Amino acid sequence: MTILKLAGISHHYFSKNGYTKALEDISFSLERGEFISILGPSGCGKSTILSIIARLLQHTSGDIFIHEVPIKESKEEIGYMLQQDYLFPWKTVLQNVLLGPKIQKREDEAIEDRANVLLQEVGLSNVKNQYPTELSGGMRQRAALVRTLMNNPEIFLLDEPFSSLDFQTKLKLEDLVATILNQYEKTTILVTHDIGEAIAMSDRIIMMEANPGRIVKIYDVPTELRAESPIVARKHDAFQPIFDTIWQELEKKEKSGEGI
Amino acid sequence: MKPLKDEQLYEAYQKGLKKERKIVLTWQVGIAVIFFLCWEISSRLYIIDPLLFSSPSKIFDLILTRIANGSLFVHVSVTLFETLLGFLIGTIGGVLIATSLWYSNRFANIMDPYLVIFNAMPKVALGPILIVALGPGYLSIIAMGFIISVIVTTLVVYRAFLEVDRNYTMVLRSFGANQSQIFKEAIFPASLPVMISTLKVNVGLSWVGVIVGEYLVSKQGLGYLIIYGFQVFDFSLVMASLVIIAILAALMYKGVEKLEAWLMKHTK
Repeated sequence: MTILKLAGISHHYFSKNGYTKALEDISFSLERGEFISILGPSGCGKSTILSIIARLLQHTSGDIFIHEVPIKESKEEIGYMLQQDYLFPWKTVLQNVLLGPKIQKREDEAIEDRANVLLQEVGLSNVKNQYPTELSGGMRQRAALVRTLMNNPEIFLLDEPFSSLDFQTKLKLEDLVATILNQYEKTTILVTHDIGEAIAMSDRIIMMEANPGRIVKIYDVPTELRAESPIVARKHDAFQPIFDTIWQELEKKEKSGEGI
Repeated sequence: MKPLKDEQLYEAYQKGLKKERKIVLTWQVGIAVIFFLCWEISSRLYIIDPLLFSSPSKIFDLILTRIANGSLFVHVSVTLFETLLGFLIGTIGGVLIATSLWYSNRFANIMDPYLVIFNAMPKVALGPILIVALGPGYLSIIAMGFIISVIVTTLVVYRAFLEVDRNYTMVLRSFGANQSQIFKEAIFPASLPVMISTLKVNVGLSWVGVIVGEYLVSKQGLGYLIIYGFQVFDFSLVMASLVIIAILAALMYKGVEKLEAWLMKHTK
């Protein structure tokens, strides 16, 4: 079942002194439960794609369908996790997690129970009444994950959510996120510039180039890696070959002057 | 020499702190005492003209008699009332205007030149207009206290609204929040520290507005006492009023500081 379909998406950023073409003719589609990564140099419009799917930006041309309904008419919830956690410092962890339901005016006991269950699942139930500043980076990002999960979105957008964490925390969190998204059968797009992370977590990898943002290639991650959790996948025999292939492709881009 | 134990080191550190506090306090008190002593002595020895500069003892006497016959209380309460009201209306008004500017980008763009002009304008120059429009009474004076703080508040708070990290707004919009929800959940709480710090600035500004207002029209209040003292050449009265204003303004400032600390603690 195709959940998300982008067909010929382009996006321009306009300013007083002209415009830049951030995206050109982006097309791909996602099946239910699929996990794809978008990999590419900075400025290739990776985050712009997510903002468009999250309805925070209006694309300038092309069509997007969610469940075959045009995105404008679709009521589908979309979960968006940013580079930093952006927990509200004046709210406790629990209040932060309940922000989505509060905005949508559907706070009730069932929702609160769900929040408690999810917090328990990510190991935060003992700090739920503390403020975000009292938590470590990894804990904060876990709280942000729960906040995004609360609205039960089918499509999950992750915008480099692990990039601000130390390596060990990052690996652990990758595992946790992969497990939870798998368990709830979420369809996910991860934006990253970490090749290893993309391979370890996803089913397919979309490689992009910059100026303008275009899709260069789409890689299928070997099936034996997909089945494994990220930490195990990183140590798998099939990991290094695809890593090298993607690495070389990125290097080639860089040499021809189109890279970073 | 034997190395000191942890507790001993800590005790030494605390002793150092205490000593430093004592030195600072001694100097603070010393400066005040020397200042008033010099003033008193030079006034008595006619080094300065006692008719113009009065002397601490005369001022003290005057304040005591004025307290005793109750005439000081009336003036103090009038001025305090006007200042507090001007301060409150100015601050709240400024925040409200800033809010409306934030709600509509277009409104903000339209208002921009007017805000610049109003901000650059010396507000006390509007005094005569206020008196003509609102009559020579409390209303004009309170309006003066208001007008002098409202524009600065508007500009500072509006800037704070705009500087709130856009990603908080993004998070809320991804949940489908509308403009007022974004304001309530992100913009307002994130700008609270700035709003609280404008309170402190506004205390000072409202005093300026009210005293100037009283210079111009009133028949009561500390500003009136200063002008009256000046006109009848009673400089003890002028000085006494200044001393009382200094004390009250400092107390009010301290009060706002306490309020700030309390608000910061309860709205983190």
